[in-house]
Amino acid sequence: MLNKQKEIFNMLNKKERQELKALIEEEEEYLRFFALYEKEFKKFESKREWEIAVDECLDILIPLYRQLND
Amino acid sequence: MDAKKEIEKFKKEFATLRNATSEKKAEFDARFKNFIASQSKEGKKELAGAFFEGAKQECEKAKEIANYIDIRLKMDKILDIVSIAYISEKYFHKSRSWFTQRLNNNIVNGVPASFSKEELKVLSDALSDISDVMKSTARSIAC
Repeated sequence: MLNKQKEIFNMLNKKERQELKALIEEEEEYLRFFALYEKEFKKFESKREWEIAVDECLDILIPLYRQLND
Repeated sequence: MDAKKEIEKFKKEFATLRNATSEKKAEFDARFKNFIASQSKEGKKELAGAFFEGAKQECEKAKEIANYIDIRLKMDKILDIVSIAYISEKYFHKSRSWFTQRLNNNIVNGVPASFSKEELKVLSDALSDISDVMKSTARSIAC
């Protein structure tokens, strides 16, 4: 799958590649913000339905970002 | 206090610190934690609601990006076989560039363009339709 993704990234032109990279980079930072401060809010609010698997979402994005940087 | 706006503001500032010094990151960390601590009990609950809602939305966006890569990958198999111009004009009544923008997730009016669920259904039906035409033609010319 990762090799296939790399093929896709290689097909994109420089501008498209930069745009996709910026999009993933921004999204990754937003998710890191939520992952980092989740515990601050759980101190006083621990409803189960608010437990978002932010780490799992980061796990989706990080390999994509690495592929773009190869 | 507009909790949603506050979380949004801190989230965006955090994203600008990717390459910042550890001092700047520590300053942000202290400021954000102080901000949370300075809120009343009700304010904290409001902030928590906005925070978890924001996390949910960002997770959805991450999945959309991954989904885009997946669709692009699947479409790659057929892009050399079928005409994008034909599909976009016949099935979507749109230009080739409209279709390409969505396929490539180009930024349109500041937002990454993508196919909606309904458009993906149209695309799926279009590919089925084209495959039917090909199969029928193949059968008709077979000796």
